Amino acid sequence: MVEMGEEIIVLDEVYKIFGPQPRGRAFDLARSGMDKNRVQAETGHVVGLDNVTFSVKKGELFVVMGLSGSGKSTALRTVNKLHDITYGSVIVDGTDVQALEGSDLQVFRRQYMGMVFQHFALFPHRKVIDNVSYGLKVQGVEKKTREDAAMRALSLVGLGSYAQSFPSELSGGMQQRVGLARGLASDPDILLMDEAFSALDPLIRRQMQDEMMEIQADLHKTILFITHDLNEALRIGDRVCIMKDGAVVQIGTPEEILTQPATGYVAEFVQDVDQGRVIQVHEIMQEPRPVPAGATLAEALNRIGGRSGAFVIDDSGSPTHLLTADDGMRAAGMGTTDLGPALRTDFDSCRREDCLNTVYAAAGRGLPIAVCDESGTLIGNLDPRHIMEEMGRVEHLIDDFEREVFM
Amino acid sequence: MTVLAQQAGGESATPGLFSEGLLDQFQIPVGNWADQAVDWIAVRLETLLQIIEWPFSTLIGFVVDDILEPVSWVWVVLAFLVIGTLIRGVKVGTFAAVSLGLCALLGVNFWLQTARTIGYIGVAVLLCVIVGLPLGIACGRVDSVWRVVRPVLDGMQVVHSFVYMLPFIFFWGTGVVSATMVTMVFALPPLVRLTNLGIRQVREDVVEASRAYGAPEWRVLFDVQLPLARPAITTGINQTLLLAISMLGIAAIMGAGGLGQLLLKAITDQSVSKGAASGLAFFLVAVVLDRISQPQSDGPGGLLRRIRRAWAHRRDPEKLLEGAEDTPSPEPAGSAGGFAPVTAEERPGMVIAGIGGLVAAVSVFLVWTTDAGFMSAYGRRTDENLAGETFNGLSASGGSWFGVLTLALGLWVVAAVVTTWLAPGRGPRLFTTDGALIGALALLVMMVCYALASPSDLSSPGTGPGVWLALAGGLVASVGALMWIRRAPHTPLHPLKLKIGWGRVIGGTVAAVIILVGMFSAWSFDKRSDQVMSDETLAKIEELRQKAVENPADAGPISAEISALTAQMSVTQLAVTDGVSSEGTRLGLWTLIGGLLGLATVLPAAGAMGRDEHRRWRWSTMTAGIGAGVACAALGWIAVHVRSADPNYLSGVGSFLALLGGVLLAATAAGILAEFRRSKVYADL
Ligand SMILES: Nc1ncnc2c1ncn2[C@@H]1O[C@H](COP(=O)(O)OP(=O)(O)O)[C@@H](O)[C@H]1O
Ligand SMILES: [Mg+2]
Repeated sequence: MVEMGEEIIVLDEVYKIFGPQPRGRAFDLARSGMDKNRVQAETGHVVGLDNVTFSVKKGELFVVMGLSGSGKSTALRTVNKLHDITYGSVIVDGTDVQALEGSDLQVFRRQYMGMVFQHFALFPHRKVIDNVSYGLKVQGVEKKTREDAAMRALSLVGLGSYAQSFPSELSGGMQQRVGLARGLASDPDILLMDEAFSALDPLIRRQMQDEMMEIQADLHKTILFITHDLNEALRIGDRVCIMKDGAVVQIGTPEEILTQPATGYVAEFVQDVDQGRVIQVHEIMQEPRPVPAGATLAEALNRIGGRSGAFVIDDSGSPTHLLTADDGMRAAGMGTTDLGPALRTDFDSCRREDCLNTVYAAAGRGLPIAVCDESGTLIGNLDPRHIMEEMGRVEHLIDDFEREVFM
Repeated sequence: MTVLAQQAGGESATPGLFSEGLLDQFQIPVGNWADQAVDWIAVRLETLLQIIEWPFSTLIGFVVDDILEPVSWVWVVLAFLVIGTLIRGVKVGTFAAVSLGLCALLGVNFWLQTARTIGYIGVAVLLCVIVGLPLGIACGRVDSVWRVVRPVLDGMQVVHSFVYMLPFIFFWGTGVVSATMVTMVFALPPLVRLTNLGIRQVREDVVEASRAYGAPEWRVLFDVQLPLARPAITTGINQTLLLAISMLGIAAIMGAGGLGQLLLKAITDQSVSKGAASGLAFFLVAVVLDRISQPQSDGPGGLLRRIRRAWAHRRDPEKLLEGAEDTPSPEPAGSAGGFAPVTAEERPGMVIAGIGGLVAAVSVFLVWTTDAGFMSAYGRRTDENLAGETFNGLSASGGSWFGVLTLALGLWVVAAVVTTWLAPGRGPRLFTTDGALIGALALLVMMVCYALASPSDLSSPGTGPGVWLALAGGLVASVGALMWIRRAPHTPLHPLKLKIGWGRVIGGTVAAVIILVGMFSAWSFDKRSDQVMSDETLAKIEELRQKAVENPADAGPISAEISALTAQMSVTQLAVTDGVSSEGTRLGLWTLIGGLLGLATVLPAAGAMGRDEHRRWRWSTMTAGIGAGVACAALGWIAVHVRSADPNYLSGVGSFLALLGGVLLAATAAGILAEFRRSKVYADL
């Protein structure tokens, strides 16, 4: 077994061409860097995967995101060899998947994989419990044992009482819970989830995401999750891989994707995301540079430097007052050297893990925000201008992208 | 050139391009080639031909000769009851058993051919399934197989069966084997196509789910693809069956025997009676097989329409699946509430009706016929030696089928009362209040007809107490059921139409007219030979007899002389009796009176006398009861004659018309009766 954090799924330079002659001219053209549409126009072959390389670590929730037709499902299907690939290698836990055939392949799938489908793909003619225990049945597990395991998986997703129903008697959300339970019942190392929540209503989708993350916190499965919804990807993913036309555009943590979109294409996606909900305070805060309680006005202004303000802290390190650059300059202009009159107490504070959207209101006042830890100690200084800049930078990228595309 | 010119009889030596003479000079010997090829195959490949023939001849031999023909018809009928019940439910099972029973009662010859036909169709369909199902599965799973099979199927369906019939006859001769092969060629394609389609239209992701969990391919097939393709496959089997049925004619031409051959013979002999009977058996067999093999989701649909549909879509049976997507059956309306409990007001009527039914049922075990005359009872002249004996209602020579019907109707009434008493509203539709009244009235009407009718002027047996008891039972049951139905809380599922149902009145009138025509038609045919003895001959016979007594030594030659004399006097005559004349039973007259009474109840039932729904329902029930009674009276008469061992004494078409009229009369009430259920009460109201 691999250790937590080791790479368990590795796709290396994977190409997948659909058509009668996958290894023919279409492949050569794709390898030479020609894009999907031109290859299709030239050869009639569809480039499903175009030099895809990524690796998923053990226990990681890895999300592949892209528009429909971008090759996400194809990528997922190479992992359990529902598709053969044209070139490259797919290694799962040290096994070269493409080399597996027949019963070896079946054993491999039974051992490693659970799969959850966009439209649930439950067996309509079997009861919920028989759906859930199907993977174990295929493994040849004896009836009693597999039904116990199925019941456990069902209660994990909160559907224990529906074991004897048929799938058609359940709502969409419940059916997908059954799908999830089916994936979990055989306790596989890897869960492949292809647009698992895309067919659900937004509200239920949210709920399912939360539930899945809860389960994941307990079970630490390796999950390869496919979605076309960036919000979902950023919300649940440990890392996100963005695909376009069969090729990987960017791989990174949600923050990296948001804060450093690799291309205009990614940035355009990012535009639709409410970043405030994803970017946390600590990503853009500055080190605190506090002003000691007994300092003079000149000393304090010195510490502010080019910033918009600084906090005065007490002996325990908690912020007590705020000196903004404007207030300090005004006081200095009036000839005072005393710090006291220039200070204000009506400042806002927040925690380092807070998301930006919770400090929008405070930022709107234009005053620096104190970032404190649990004990109240000042650990950072959040400048409202930086929040605006963060948004502005993204918009900038999009402008560039649009210029790139339309001009 | 010169030789040619001579042959052409001096005509132009070189015929022009457009002259037929040119074609005289050519003759591609296609016929010869084929002839040689067939000969070559028949001789060189004899073993191969025999191998191909083996499964056909073995199966047919086993199913038809070893099972269906020697086994008693009762077992076959019971087997169909069981099979139908297992596959499609009690209703279809019963229907199959009754229909096949009817085929058997047509006579032993018809039954044997019926069994043959069933066996032949069964074998053809079985072989189609054995070949077609795996082939269809292969086509559905492997594209390259489908690419090869598809044009072959197209070919099989484009060529007319008369054409490909020939090689089969050349190689295997005429008879049931080659007929089965030809039937297979014709009936196989839809099964392959539909199986292929069924497998292909299983959702890809569901199949993928099975694979993704590591299922081997056989599991993917048996766990997912086959179960989900089942509707398509059953439609395919049904199509195959319908096409096999439609091939029976050609099979008969090829010498397959069975009902098809009987029909053919009836056509060449121009025999109406044979044609009608074998046609009926043919029809019943077809309907039974179709019903049993019908996919659940399909509506019943007339057989002819279904065969026509099967024909129309035999090249694109895929179309048949459209619209047949599984529509979930709607919840029965208002299933939440419970049925109204039996009220105190209902009980007296129920008790009286129940007693009446019970009395009628018991009566058949009492004496129905006393002092059987020259003929014991209805139509049974063969029982000549029974003079003076007495019979109960069930013995064949007494009440016979009237007794059986009395027993059935009496028990029906009792069952309706008991079911409602114990579980109001929950029993079968027939075992409710209206069921009880229909049974009781039918009993009453039938027994009145029976009591009034006289078997014939030649026979006047005494009527035993059983008959009067049955009559009294019918009367009591009717009174009780009428009291009951006035109080029974029944309501229609939909509001009844406000307009007067003139259609029903017309229907009732037509029914009455049919019965009227029936009355003037023949109720019995007597084709038996009879002796018409003049007084002279009688005296002569008496004299001879006397002589024989006096000197017993001459008894031998004398009795021979007597036989010769009587034989001389034998005359074959056809005695036809209608339904009114006093030589007959006059059952026609009594059924007509019943029919007119029924017609009178149609008016209030159709809403001509007030809109009150409950009242219209009550009158409708009476119409149905009286109609059923008329039908039962006619049925009793027909059944007595069917049972008769003398093939020359038959019931006439008049009794059939009375039966038809009675059923039609009852049918006019069916619409309203189907609407009414025992009322429901809801706990939360
Ligand atoms: N079986 C197939 N045959 C031909 N083309 C395919 C097949 N499966 C997928 N494709 C093509 O490959 C591309 C990627 O498909 P897919 O991976 O399903 O996209 P996604 O899941 O991102 O929507 C699409 O252009 C699609 O048309
Ligand atoms: Mg997809």
